[in-house]
Amino acid sequence: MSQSHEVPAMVEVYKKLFVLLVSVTALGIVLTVLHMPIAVTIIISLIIIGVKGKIVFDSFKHLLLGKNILILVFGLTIFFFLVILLLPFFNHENPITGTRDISKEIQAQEPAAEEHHGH
Amino acid sequence: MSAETIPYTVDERPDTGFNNATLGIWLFIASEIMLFGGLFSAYVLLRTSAANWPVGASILNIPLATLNTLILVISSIAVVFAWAALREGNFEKFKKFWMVSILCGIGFLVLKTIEYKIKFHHGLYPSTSTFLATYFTLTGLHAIHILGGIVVNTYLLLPGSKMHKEDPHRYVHRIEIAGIYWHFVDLLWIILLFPVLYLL
Repeated sequence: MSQSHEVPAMVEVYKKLFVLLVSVTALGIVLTVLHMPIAVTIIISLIIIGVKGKIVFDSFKHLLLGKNILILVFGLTIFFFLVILLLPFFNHENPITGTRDISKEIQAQEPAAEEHHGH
Repeated sequence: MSAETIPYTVDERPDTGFNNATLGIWLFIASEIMLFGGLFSAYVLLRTSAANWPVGASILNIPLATLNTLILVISSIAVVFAWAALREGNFEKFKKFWMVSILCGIGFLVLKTIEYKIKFHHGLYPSTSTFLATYFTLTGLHAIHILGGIVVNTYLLLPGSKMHKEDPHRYVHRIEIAGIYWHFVDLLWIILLFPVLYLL
């Protein structure tokens, strides 16, 4: 990880990192207690996840930056991760069976069924 | 056949700037990110396509998961202290902190098992809903990674520690590599799995 004289400094960095992560995690837990609207909760939670990622990246970037092969490896990883993440949204022809909102279809069927029973 | 030593076990390779094991663990972590990335992508797709998706807090046990998060944070800190102790040449101190990290890993798995048992007791199985299928897949795979880390760390503490006398430099390096993996598994839970599954 580093030279011997850098060990205490590295330990300090790790300590700060985990204190920050615990603090931000606590903030996330508070969100679930506050019972805010789901959209607000999702946005704030995503911001918290982003902040956590940034904190970790800032703590470990000295291991990654300056090493061209790691920048390449993780650059490709992030690229393909985004491809995997976004690819399904470009496919509108193949919806997942059973996950569509069938409430409107049921509502449409109900009057027809009542009519049938009426006869 | 003569036994040949694989080069660059400890020294950095001139072309990559890493030794073999360090480059290997980073490549492994990149592949792990893709593995969990694929599953996370499936989670996003399923969630956005679903007519109804429960908030994790309404089904899952937040206090247990929070305790598990704290356990993993303590475990990561213990790994850092163990590594620092080893770098300072204090092997006994290293063993204590390394043992703490292993026990934390075991504690995590025990709590996870309790959490699963509670779910099964209430009739909540992976087949119950898409949300639970996603939950059990992601947390189960993560638990397997924790188990793998415990096995490796225990090996390094017990039979593997002989290397500390024979080749201390290489042993320190092995601990660093195992530490990087352990941090990855911990951070995966702290940054992604806990907030996404339990809080969102």
